[in-house]
Parts: sequence; structure tokens; C-alpha cells
Amino acid sequence: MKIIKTFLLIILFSANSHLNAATKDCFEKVNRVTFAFNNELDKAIIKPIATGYSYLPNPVKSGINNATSNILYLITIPNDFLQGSFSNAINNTGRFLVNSTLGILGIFDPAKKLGLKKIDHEDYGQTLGKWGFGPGCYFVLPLFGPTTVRDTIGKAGNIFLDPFYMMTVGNKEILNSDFAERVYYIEKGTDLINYRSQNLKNLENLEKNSVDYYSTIRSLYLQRRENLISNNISDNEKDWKDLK
Amino acid sequence: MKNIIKFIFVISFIFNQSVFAFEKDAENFIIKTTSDAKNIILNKSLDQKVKRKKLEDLAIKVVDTEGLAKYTLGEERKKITEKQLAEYINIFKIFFSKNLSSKLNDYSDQEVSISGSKKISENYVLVSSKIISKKDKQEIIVDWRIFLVNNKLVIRDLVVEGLSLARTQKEEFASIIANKGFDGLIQNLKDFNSKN
Repeated sequence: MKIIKTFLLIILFSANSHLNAATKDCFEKVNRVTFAFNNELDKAIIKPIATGYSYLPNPVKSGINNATSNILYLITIPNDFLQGSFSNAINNTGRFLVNSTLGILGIFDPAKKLGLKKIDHEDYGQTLGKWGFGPGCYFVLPLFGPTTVRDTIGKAGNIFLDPFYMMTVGNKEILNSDFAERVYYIEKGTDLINYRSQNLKNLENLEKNSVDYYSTIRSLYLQRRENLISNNISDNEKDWKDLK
Repeated sequence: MKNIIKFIFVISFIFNQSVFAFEKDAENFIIKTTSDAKNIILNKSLDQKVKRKKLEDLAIKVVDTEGLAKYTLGEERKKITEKQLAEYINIFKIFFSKNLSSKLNDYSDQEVSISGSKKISENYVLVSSKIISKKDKQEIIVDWRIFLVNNKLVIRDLVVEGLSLARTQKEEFASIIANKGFDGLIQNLKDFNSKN
């Protein structure tokens, strides 16, 4: 009961802060340690695997990218509805149905040829943002990386309200097998490696050219989330005036 | 009456043309800048050191490094002395040119295509472009913040897939200032410049 109360207080606190207000890094010292740990873990395990993955032929990587992206529609579609984006929900439902069947589990993208365009994915963190909840504190989670209070609540939704999770891990009565559970974790692992391999050069450059890599990643994460929530570039144009 | 209508028409035509010219000039400026950078990167007769130097010179020429330096300092620039600001601007210019040339040097197989532009104010145009990788046909959307400063077009920011490089730099510097103060930032920049 106490936990629920604390959660509600956090949500209320987040709701009061404005979307574009500067997000506070409440536990910066701890965050920097966690960030350094994640970074070392990345260099030791994830980056080498992603580097190996990057040598796969482009059509293979493209097929894997399409398939992992297709599964994400199970999170995107309910969030389209929750955000009132009904045309996007219909478009994405069409894409999911066509690509899961004709596109063989989403490996190919025949939906594009049928005029169902690719739209950015939505998640529960973005929906909370759309509903007016501010980000709350910024912090870094071990293994999961940068996040905010709002996005952590969203992340929980992305896991436990994901039909793919429910069918494979959450409720074994549906598929009733350990194999299904393994499929879930393999899919999530592949998604991570695929994403990391797409950003090998970018992250390397960023680290090399940053004076403070931790702050750079924090800034990029927060900008990206702001843009995804507003579906626009939410930069403050007035900052560019009066540079004398 | 006819003459008045004619006059209004001519005036509005000239005005529209000049507005359009500013945007077109900004687009052409980006086309020329990216083409110049690509010519340096792909020039096989130049060794890496010369290439870097040429890219650094190009960056200094087309980017308003002074404006960018002030922007990245944020509110802090109102708290420091003129002398400190001048020192910071000089160090930032070196930092910026080294930083940008290092980033550019790693990219070689990309084509830039302009997709449009939008006038934001009298001296500010946002040029939108797509950078397409020849290797894997991946497209990246890049917006360029172009300003007219002293009758010269200059770049103040690149917004890559919605992420502003200037804002990122500003927030990075703000964090250093919060932890180590203005002098700490100067020291960090000097360290970076001497290492690269």
C-alpha cells in the first residue's frame, strides 16, 4: 500500500512539472557511477557482439530490424489509441497484420507497398508525456541506462502490458512452454544488439568528442524523449536571439 | 486605381522574391559547404593531417563560432568578465574546429540533398536536408540553423534527427560549470584541445 502511495506521489509530482522545464538530475553522483558501470558493461559485452553483428549482410540486418520493429507495434497500437491518434492506430494495425502474415513474422515490409507508411513507435512513457505528466527526475538505471521517473513508469508498462510479454513470459498458460519465454528474451536481446550496431560509429564519435560524455548522453536522451512526445523538434528558438 | 494595384503587386512581388532569395541563398550555402567538405574528405592526394587542417579552416569559415560559443555558455556569460569571455571564445573556437573536423573525417560515403527551408526571422533560416549513406541507403534528417550575421551567411547549429548539437554542447558545458565552475570548463577545454 505504501509503495502505491509513493508511486502516486511521484506521478503527481511529475504531473506538476512542465514538459519543457529543465529536467533535474537528482542523483547525479550515483548516476555517474551507474553510467560508468553501464559503459564498461557495454564495452565488455554488448559492443563486441554488436560489432560482430554489424558484419552480417545488409538484407539480413534489415530483416531482423523489420521483425523486431514489427513486434513493437503491440506496444505502439494501444498507445496510439491512448493518445487519441486513431489514424496512426489504424495504419499501424494494418502494418502489423500485413507484415506479420504476408511479411513472414515482420521480416519483410509488404505493408509499405500497400501505402501503410512507417510512423515512429509510441510507448507508455510517451503517452504519459502526452497526457501532461512531466519527466520528473532524470536518473540512470543499471543495465537499462538513462531514464526519468515518467519513463521508468512507462518502461514498466512497456514490459507488463506488452501482449508479447504476456503470451511468452507473463502467462505461461497461453503457450505453456519455457521455449516461449526464451523467445521473448532472445527477441529483446536481438533488438538491443541491432540498435547498438546501428549506433556503433555515432557513440564512438560522441565519446571521443565529448568533454563530459555523461552530460552529452543525458542531453541527447532528454531531447529525444521531448521530441518523441511532442512529435516535433522542441527546441527553444528564443535562446538564439540576443547573442551579443 | 490601376496604378495603385500595379504598385502593390510589384512591391509584393519584389518582397516575396527577396524573402525567397534569402531562403534560396541559405540552401545554396549548405550545398556549397557540404560539397567543399566532401571534396576535402575524398581528396586522396591529401594526408590525414592536411585534411584535418583544411576541414578545421572550413569549419571556422562557415560556422559562427563566436555566436555558438556565447550560446553554449548560456546564462554563465552574463556572470563572467569581458576578459574571461574573450578567453573562453578563443579556446572554444579551437575546441569546435578540432571537434567538427574529427567528426567529419569519419564520414565519406554520404550524399546531401536539400528538402526545403523555412524563414524563422529576418536573419534566420532553417534549412532541411537528408543525408543519405550510399553504403546502406540509410537516411538521416539534418536541419541547419543558418543566420545572416554582418551580411554573411553562417551556420549556428545542426539538428540531427531532432537532436540539436548546439543544445547538447550547451547542456554538457552547463553540467561542467555546475560541478567544477567556469574555470573547470576552461581547463577541460584546454585539456581536450591539447589531446586532439
